[in-house]
Amino acid sequence: MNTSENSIEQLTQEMENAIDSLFTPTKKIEIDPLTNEIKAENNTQRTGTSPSASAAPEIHDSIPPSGLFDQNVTKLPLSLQNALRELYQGLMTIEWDMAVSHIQKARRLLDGLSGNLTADQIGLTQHVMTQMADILAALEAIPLNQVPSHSPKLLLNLFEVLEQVLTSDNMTPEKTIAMAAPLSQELNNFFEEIERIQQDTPFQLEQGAAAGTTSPGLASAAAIARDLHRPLPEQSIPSLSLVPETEPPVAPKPVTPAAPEAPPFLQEAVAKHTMQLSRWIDRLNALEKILAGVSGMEKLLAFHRQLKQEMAAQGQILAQAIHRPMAPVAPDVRTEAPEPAQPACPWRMLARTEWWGKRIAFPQEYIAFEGKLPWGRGKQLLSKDSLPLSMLKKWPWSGIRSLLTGSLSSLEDSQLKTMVMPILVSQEPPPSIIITEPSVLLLWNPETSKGCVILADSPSTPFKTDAWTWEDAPTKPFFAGILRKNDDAIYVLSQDIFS
Amino acid sequence: MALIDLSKKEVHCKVVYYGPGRCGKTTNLIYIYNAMSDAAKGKMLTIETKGDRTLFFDLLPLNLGKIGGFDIRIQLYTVPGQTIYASTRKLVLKGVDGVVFVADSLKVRKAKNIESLQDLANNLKEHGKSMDEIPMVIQYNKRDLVSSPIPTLSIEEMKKDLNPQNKWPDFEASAVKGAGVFETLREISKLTVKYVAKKHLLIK
Ligand SMILES: Nc1nc2c(ncn2[C@@H]2O[C@H](COP(=O)(O)OP(=O)(O)O)[C@@H](O)[C@H]2O)c(=O)[nH]1
Ligand SMILES: [Mg+2]
Repeated sequence: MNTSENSIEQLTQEMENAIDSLFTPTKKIEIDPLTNEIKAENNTQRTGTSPSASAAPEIHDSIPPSGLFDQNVTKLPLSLQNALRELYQGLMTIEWDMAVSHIQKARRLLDGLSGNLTADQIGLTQHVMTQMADILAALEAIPLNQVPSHSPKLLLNLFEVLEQVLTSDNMTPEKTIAMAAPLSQELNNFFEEIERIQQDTPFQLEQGAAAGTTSPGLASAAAIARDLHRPLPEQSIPSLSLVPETEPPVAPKPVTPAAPEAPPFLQEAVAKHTMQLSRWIDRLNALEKILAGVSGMEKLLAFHRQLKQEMAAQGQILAQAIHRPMAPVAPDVRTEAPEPAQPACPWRMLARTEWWGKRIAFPQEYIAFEGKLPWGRGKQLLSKDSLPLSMLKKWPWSGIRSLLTGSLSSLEDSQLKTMVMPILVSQEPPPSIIITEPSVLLLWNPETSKGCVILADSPSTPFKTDAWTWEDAPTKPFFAGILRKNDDAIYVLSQDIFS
Repeated sequence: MALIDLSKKEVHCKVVYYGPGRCGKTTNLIYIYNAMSDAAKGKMLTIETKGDRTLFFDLLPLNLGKIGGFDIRIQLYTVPGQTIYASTRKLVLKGVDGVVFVADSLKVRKAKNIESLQDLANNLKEHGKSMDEIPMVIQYNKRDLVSSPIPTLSIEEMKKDLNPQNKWPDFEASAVKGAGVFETLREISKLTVKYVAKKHLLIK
């Protein structure tokens, strides 16, 4: 273009004209300073083209066209754009306020972003994503007042690379590494610094807390990180064992007929409530870990512990009250001869699913994980006889524990990642229809501390057993009994599966 | 950012509405967004809105269309006013091409106005810019309150505090009623596009 003074003059004149004609109000409105509601002067205009009802339109599906955000991003699918923008905001938030909650949020957003990537993109971005995740994990593991000052910038730089990788054509993983190469020196420095900080301050927290020198909130990240390797004190609270201790017995022993029983709806309600209680206790446990690491939070921590104990005690009372009539005894099915009289199902509630062409059932509280494996890994399992728990993870750096429910989730990640669970294989011929992507059910028996994996054809659903008749099945491997109703049969797994 | 992409023929100008917390920056953008025709405005983005309206910043992209073969866009940003967001304020000023300084007419905000203007000067300096160089417009907002019982500052007083040498064009405004909002916008837009065109296109 001609860049003489004259043409600039002409250009600006045209721009000014455009500004005059475009940047004018097309309607008269008013904003209520108290409610921020927008009122059109002429009420009939309220249904106009702009979202006039809300004063602060929170439109989150548009991307800033440029400036802070790479323009090419608009080529990407909207969900990925949003995930990128959210992560970007998360990193900016860290930049302006280094706080544990922001670091944790950024980690979640990074995880969330990964869910929006195609297999190809995962391969391309893995290098950068891992670096970012490692930095965030490191930041969480050190006292906040020692966070290296260049870390937010480093994260943003990596984000830029990530964005470039996703928006460039003809990318290869090698090119990604090359793109990130200029940052490698800084990354090395960063991790060296982190290592030094961790070595220098292993017990800084306790000392600080005792001497009252650590300011509140500063060292909680370090505490969480260390807690991963060291059990918390005061683990005597019976919280996590609540469910296993109080749930119905696991052997096909008939209910004592003489005992008076609570009505089924009540039993069900109480069972649900005790389950919920134990879930809440789980959450309190997580919270406790955080609080335990923050000086100045001792009162709140004590309050939470008290609350937890009370909840656990309440759970015990409820569970005992409701299960007493059921008289749990004789846990070993193999040595127990079947009762000659019509026996009843020892469980009120079970979960059922399809497996090996059969309907099977098991106590719901055994479920430690249920779902498909990431990246279609479930397929690989069909030809395997065991599942390393690390296969549940989506990313090398993500934890296993957070994926689990029930008492297995009380184990530390360091333990979990070494665990391998056997996959249950039927001795019967394989079914005619083979599911290509099984629903993985990880069952865990807290009493025996053993687990196994079922590659189910469908997700499990809970059901009440009282409408079914029970038939002991001592000869069949795996099964404690069969529930029958009309022509339907559900095979109930026995404890043998955990041996 | 004055992001001028000659190959794509795009010119992006970044205008930041600066000022103390709760002076009405976001309200300016909301007014513009709601009163303007759809032809030129993009979608407004209000980020991290919680109780305090702007925790992060607001963004309203405006489009002037193709002029002289260039696609010209003006992006309006606001900054959070609270002190704890100091580094965000700095960040939003990165690559700024024009500033609207919004002052609050409430008497109790007199010191805050002055403090914020000083803050702006410092932050611009950190980005290697100055208020003498960069296009700037001052807006005395909430003038509708003058007729209310709430104590307000007179225009003379505000000028003396914020624009004593009459360096910058200034406007009285009421962002809730819309008075002065578009006048401010047009003035800063013109100054900014001119500045960007001169600075960047001439060198090329
Ligand atoms: N009376 C009156 N109130 C205003 C005016 N401009 C903004 N406000 C109110 O002042 C409050 C803060 O405005 P806001 O735009 O969120 O301030 P910001 O922090 O600068 O973005 C809101 O309740 C607005 O409705 C105005 O011109 N007159
Ligand atoms: Mg605001």
